[in-house]
Amino acid sequence: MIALALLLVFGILSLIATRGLGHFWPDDLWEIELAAEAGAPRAVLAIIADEETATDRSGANRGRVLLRSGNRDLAPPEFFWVDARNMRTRSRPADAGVIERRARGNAHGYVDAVLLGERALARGPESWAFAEKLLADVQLKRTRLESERRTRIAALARASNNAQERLRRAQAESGVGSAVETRSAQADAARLAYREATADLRRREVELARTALLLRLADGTLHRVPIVDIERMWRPNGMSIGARLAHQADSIAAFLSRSPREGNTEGGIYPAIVGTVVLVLLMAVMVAPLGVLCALYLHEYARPGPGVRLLRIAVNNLAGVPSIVYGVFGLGFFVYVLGGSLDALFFADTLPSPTLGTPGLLWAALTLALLTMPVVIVSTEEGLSRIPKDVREGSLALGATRSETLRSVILPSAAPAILTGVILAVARAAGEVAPLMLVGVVKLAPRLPIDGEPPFLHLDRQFMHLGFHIYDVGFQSPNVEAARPVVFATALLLVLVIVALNLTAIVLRNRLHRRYGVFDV
Amino acid sequence: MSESTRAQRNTAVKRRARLDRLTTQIVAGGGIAVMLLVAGIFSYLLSVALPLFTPASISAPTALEKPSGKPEAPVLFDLDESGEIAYRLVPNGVLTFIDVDSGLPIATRQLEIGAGIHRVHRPDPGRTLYALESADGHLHFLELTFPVSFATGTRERQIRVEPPFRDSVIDLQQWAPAGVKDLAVHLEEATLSVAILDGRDSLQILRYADAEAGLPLLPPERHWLSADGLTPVRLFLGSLQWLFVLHADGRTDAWDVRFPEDARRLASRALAPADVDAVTLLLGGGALLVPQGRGPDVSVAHWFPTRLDGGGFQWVRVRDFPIGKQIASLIPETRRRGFLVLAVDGDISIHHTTAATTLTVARPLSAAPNAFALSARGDELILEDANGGLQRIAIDNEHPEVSRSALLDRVWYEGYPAPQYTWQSTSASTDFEPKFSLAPLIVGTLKAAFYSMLFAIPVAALGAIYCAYFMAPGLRAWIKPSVELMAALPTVILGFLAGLWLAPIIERALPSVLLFAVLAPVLCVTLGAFIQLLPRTRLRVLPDGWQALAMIPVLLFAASLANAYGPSLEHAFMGDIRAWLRTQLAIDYDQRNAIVVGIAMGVAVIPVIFAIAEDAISSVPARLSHGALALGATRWQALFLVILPTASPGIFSALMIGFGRAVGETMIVLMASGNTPILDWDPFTGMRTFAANLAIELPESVVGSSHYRVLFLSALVLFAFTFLVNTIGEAVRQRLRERYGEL
Repeated sequence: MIALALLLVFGILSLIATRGLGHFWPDDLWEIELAAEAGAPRAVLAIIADEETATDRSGANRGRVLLRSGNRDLAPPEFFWVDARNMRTRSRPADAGVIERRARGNAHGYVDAVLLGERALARGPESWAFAEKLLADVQLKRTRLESERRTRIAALARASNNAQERLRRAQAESGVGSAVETRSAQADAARLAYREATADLRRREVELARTALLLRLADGTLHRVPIVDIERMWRPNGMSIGARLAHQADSIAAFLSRSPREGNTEGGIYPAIVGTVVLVLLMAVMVAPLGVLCALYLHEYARPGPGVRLLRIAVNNLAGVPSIVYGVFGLGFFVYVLGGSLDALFFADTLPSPTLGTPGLLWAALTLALLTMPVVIVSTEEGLSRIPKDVREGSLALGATRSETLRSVILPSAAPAILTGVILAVARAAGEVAPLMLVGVVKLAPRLPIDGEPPFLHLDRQFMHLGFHIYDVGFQSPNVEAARPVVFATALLLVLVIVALNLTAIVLRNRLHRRYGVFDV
Repeated sequence: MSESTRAQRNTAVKRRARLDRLTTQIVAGGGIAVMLLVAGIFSYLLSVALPLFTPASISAPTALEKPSGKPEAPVLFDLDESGEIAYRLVPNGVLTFIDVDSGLPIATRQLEIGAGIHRVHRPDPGRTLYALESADGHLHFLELTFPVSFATGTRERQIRVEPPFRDSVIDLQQWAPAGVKDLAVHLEEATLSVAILDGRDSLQILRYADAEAGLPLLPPERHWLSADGLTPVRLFLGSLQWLFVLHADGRTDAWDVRFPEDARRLASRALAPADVDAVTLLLGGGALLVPQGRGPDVSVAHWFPTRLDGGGFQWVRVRDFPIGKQIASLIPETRRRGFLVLAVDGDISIHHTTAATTLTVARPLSAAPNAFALSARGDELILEDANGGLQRIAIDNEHPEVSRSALLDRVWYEGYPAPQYTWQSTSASTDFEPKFSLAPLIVGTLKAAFYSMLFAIPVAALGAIYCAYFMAPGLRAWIKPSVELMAALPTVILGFLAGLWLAPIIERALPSVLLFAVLAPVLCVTLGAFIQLLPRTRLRVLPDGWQALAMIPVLLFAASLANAYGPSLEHAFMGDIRAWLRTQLAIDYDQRNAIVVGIAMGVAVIPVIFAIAEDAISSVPARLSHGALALGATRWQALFLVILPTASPGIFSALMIGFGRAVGETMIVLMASGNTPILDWDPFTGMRTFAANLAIELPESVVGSSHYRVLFLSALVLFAFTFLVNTIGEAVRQRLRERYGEL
């Protein structure tokens, strides 16, 4: 039975690791010719996503293969099962490429030419190298255009709106007159500037979109793929192990640092990482003082008796209360009651649209703080109980008050235990999803909870979260098959973080034991 | 020592003392805050759930300003949607609007209707839209709306009286030249149905497919229904499907008129109302409220036609609400399946059909009123007595649909073939009957916990015994952190693996999985016996306490064996075990089922049980087992006769706490159970638990609604249940610790 438990743990971990990392590995691209009766396209350029082997009673191969042919929009379906028997020929042509697009998934095919409008910039075998060079250039320009849209155009839009607002106020105050005319002229000018800048940007975007790849699919059809739409392109069949590892590292970096695309099923998980980190840090800031205070009270200050026993049972029970109940409490009390009344007090001008009276970062962190408090209390108490009585009494005998003893003797000695508790709490909070679904997590947050805009940390914003990302992408997305790799990769990251945090806590605790081992008689 | 240094010293001492006191206060405050928190969570959940069970109440009437002179008796008396404006219409077409707060008339309109109005129908209870039957045989439609305007800076209600359709008059003489005896009108999804009983006792139904386009413009479909030689007296049309026809002899027919050209009489039975005029439709139009009996036996019966098992329909008298005195009128609510009963002596009682409750009875009046109107929210009743005096009664009745029986008993929902337990809280349509039976959720929660404990108990408890009693310390040092890591695995990951990876595997290779469940223990025991039979010297290969590792290859072997022979096992079940289960044992197979949940949640609770049980066993004082061994007991005897009896309370508490975890676990169930609120214990069907139900429904629920409060009630139940289980577990553990102390 122990063996089964061990198998389970390590089996799960290795399953997640292989599936998660496999997502980033550039798999071989097979050109497969299918028998006509396969009910699928005749020729495909596909990645073998899954294989099932089976034999029927006569011993014939009844296995089937899950092919991922890419080209979701050009030649659907993207995923399909075919019988192994129906695969006539298969080969791995070196010049077959995977084109990772910003929308509609990957495209698989051969690059026949690079086009500018209708004119070919490159043809034949050299097109791939040319396209790769062009891609770097186009991506640079695209990034610049995007940042311009975010900064300059947004500023112009704001200016135009402000000018409009001033004009409205001027009209409301005086109705007519020179002031109104000036305002009106200013508003017109601001609007014109905004329109011109937008048009100019649009023109440059269109210009940029003119370069395209001419992609030939396995079935021979030709398609234009604009280079601006391309994220990356590679030819897996010709890659060496080293090149593949580099590609994998590159993919992992992109996964960690980019925003999701295509309804979260592609792209990165950067916002979810930021959301999770900000959330657990905020929670740690809230839970640490309260948890430590409670542990100190229980262990150092309270007189032993029924009250303390009751409190201890309450703490132990809090640890056993289902997390969803905390979520319900958080939603009902924090969000609707506390948030609602704070809104009425401080944000009355924006009502009825709520500011704090809606699920958000602050309430999620507070809810998680409640949830993880027992962890901190129990761990701190254990640390406190390991401090020998002599140390405490020695300090008091030397004339220190209780608070001085606490500050300069007890707390420093218990610091590792407190830290262990906080780390365990963070690990617990990072993996907790159920209560968050009620108090503030969303599948796609337009803005990060922490950014360059004052007040920098936005407690009222909703946020993304790794655990919820797993649930949402794995269970709520329309294309589960395509989403699965992202789910495994996200799960791998989450597991790694949590295992790392727990190992840190275990190591810290062991060192703590050794440190106070000397006091044990 | 100088004065100044002494003073300094004094202030320093004072400061230190102050600081000390402050610290004490802060620390004690922290401790008490936690205590308050536990109490706070409980009392907050309770405070939200409690209003579900506060009984309804009816206030004493407040008399409004009495209009001068005695007005004519109204043919229409009603309230606007918000309950601020009452209006009354008299036969000559004068429509008067009355401010409910002051009782003063605020506006009057003269309707241009040739002859007098003698009857008014309300075709759509969701709108303040009326069909007026005039004495010269016309049916006029008009809609009253009360838009809010802020034009003058203050909130002001406007009054609009408009025809709802492009042309809003139907000439009834065209369809019923012999005159109209009774008429029923229903409007739904822009389809207007008019059922007419004419002077020759013939029944017909007119259906205007697109009423908004104008009534005479689009000629209706017209269909005759056979009265079968009986004398119909009243018609009820409350939905697109049902037309109820009440005959003079008390018999009532239910017609399915969804397709009027193919109208069918589905059910016919003597409902025998005591008072034909008081019979009324319930919200949704699929049920009738019928006053029955005489004298002290008077009751209101709730009847609806329901489908029979063998096909066909039947009228059922689902439940009775005893009233005990003569009924003046029944007032159905327009948004809920509740109704009010006005008795002749002035009693008012409030009832709800789904909850089968009489919520309250009061006697605010001395006699039954002349006219009455219930606000759309059901919180206000306006009454007009015979002299035209207005009275206003406030009704506090927030959550009539929830009662003990609605939550826990079988309930016969409208249109269902039999009473049953159903959880179905929301739907798109407004006349939906919410079904708040907690039974499927309770069973689902216990089912998920049961199957996970089925998997977890053997693994965790046996593992703990082995780990604590037999295992070599070197290996143990590795096992404990591993199990701790297992505990740290986020449940969202277990859930997603179970739902997306394990469930399809089990579905595909069910025989192999079943085979493994049998093979693994058998092989392990066989191998264990084999090892025992080996001569002692051979055992050196595996040092004492490391045997567990030897089981890993055995398990892998069992897995591959199961994988290899699973398909042949499936051939024994006609090639498809799932089809076999369905046809032979009538067991449905869902991909996400209790077995999948059991395994995944088992993985989540194993470490909890393991840790506590292991702790309990290993902290049994070593002297006890040493003593037993010294007295000649074998290790097994020592284990079974000394160690386990001593540690059994600890193992029990481990199981309790593990069970508490399983009951409240959310993500795994949410992702791996399919979340259908069904009520069975089959291993191959899904379930919905309390926790998953909260995660699914609470974000969508309207704050303060019955649904919201029922969800809070279920959170409270979860909280209380886990609290109880954990407290028992903890108490047992504390006791055990004290006992070990004594030993």
